[in-house]
Amino acid sequence: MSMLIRLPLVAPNEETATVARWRKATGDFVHSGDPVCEIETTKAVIEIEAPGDGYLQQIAPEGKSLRVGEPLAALTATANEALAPLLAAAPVTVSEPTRRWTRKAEIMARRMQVDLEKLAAKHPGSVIGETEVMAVGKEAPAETDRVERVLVLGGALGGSAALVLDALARIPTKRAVGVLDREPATHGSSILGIPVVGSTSQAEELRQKDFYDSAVIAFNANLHERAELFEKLAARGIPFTNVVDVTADVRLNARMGMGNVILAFCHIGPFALLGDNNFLSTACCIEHHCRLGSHCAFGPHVAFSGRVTVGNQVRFGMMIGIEPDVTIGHEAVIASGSILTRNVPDRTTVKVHPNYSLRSRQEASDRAPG
Amino acid sequence: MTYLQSLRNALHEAFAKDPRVHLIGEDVLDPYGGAFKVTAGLQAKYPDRVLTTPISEAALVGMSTGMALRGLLPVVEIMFGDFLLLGADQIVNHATKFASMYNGKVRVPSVIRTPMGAGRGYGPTHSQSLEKMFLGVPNLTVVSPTHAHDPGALLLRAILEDPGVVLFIEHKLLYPLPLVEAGESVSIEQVDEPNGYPTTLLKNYHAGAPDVTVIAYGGMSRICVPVMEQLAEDEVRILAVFPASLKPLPVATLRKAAEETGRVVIVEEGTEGFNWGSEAAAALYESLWRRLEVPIKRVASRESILPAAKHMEEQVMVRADTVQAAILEVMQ
Repeated sequence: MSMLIRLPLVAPNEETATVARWRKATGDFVHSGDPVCEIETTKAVIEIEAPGDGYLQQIAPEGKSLRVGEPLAALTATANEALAPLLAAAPVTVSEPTRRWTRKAEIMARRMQVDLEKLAAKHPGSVIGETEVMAVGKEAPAETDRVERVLVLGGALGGSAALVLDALARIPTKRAVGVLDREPATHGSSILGIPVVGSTSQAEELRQKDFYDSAVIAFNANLHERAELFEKLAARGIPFTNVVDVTADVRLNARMGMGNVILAFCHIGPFALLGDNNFLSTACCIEHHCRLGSHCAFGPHVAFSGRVTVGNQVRFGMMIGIEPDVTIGHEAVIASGSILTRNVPDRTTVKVHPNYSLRSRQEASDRAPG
Repeated sequence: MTYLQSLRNALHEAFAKDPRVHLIGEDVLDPYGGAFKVTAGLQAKYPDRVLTTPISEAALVGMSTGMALRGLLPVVEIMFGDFLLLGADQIVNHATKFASMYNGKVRVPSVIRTPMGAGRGYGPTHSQSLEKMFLGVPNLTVVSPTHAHDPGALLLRAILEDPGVVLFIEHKLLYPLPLVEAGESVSIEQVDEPNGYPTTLLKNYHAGAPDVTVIAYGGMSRICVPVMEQLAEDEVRILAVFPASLKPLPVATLRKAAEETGRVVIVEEGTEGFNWGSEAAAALYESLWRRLEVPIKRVASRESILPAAKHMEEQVMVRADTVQAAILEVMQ
């Protein structure tokens, strides 16, 4: 496997070091542990060893001063491999969730008992500030007590629309008004008393007709489609809402964007950060300081420990445990029952070995007791 | 202009202005110029007035006291603040006592400069903020500039004008930082104090009343200023008060700033409890009792040694997120 050799931290007080001498030339095949070059700090000269087998390609010339973490050289599987993709591989960055209100607005809303979700739904696309909250505080309460009308997109056949409608039924400030699904066979039917009124392509038209205030996506079989639909409608000004079950617990300073579905008994810890359009099934735990991207789907009972970072469009099966500080790249798939202790790169599938047998008990019982 | 350059320039200016000024310390000669390079260039220019010494902080402070008694204006550099304890007897039992013990017939005008602070993975004995151990020493002035002060001006005053012993605390992580300038994001105001070491007031808003008063000193400005800038986007208006004089405490200025909001956060890098923040909070409770909206919130490093591993050191230290959480907490 190709990899970069980066300048290590040699002494805590030295953030740079100079390439003193190359011991191997570009194109040389080196083995793991071979000294490939010498670097010099103000206090010492250190040998850098190859971290694996491969063809060496020097990046920094002799005499060049580098900062800790900058690439010294690459080890590649073939002699003439292009370095551009290696150098371009950037660490996973999670985009900030769309900001809907300032922290001051949040604090003032809490003090004045103003419902920010409702206020934000009235001002799609703009960040709610202190001024808007104070203005609501002065208005007659009847004006703000209107129940938000929610449109559910997809999931009529698979059952996920039912999950979202069930959660909505218990939220006093929201009311489901209809379901759109691309499967024509579902049109005209109803789920938990809510009609399937047409195809997802009609979302914009129904918004123009003031049929609903905000939308949420229920289907999650294809995360790429889920992301695409969200981006398309959001770009055209359709407001999305978060559906958070009344039994879910969102703790202090946790923040989320728009269009998230958070089902029963989920726990969103303090300072956790969720992007947009995620679907969390029953009893998932996103612990404190976790950073979750957008358009991810979770089966039941997925538990993150603290400070886990997850990219976009990541799919989690069920009953998964993730250790603290683990980073999971974009579009990864994590199989049910996995316990993750290490980082997962972009577009990687993690499998477990179910039904793995340790040894036969037959043999043991054949032995004479005592 | 960085914090380091400002201090270095002040040393050069003090040497040029008054031939009585001398500097003593370990490894302070050129070309090395001190472990943190604050004294760089000084010995080349004033070879007779910069003295490098063996490793004995007790001897360093003792010599400085003797030099001051005999009419010089010595500046001592203690390489790391942690080593100050080796000179503590000379500070506590000698330098700060002589003026009173000799009935005012002698003076000990001297400055003991030293860097404190963690964040570079230097481990348990090169990273502490031990100034709190010296705050209760009678007749000792303790000064610590933030990077929102003019650190050089404070040092000049300590060297040339202060008649007593000044413990001058610098912060390792401030050295490379450019001094904070008033601009779009923050406005700066200086309040003169009776002892000559001004307090800096910073505001992250241009209109309206502040929501929270943040009181901090020294290296904590490097955390507080970015937090203020960030929270400005969230419409959280912060009045920050950075006293340069830790002792005596500029109580009148602190009280006035705390009264504006009734919501106070005190931040310091030293370990939690029995610290500068305790004294500042007690002083504010005495004068603002019942005028505070919420109890004063103190933020400090955990009561722990400082690990050498940086990711563990971070867990012990005051961080931007802990300061931000405290600010939001007192606003609830």
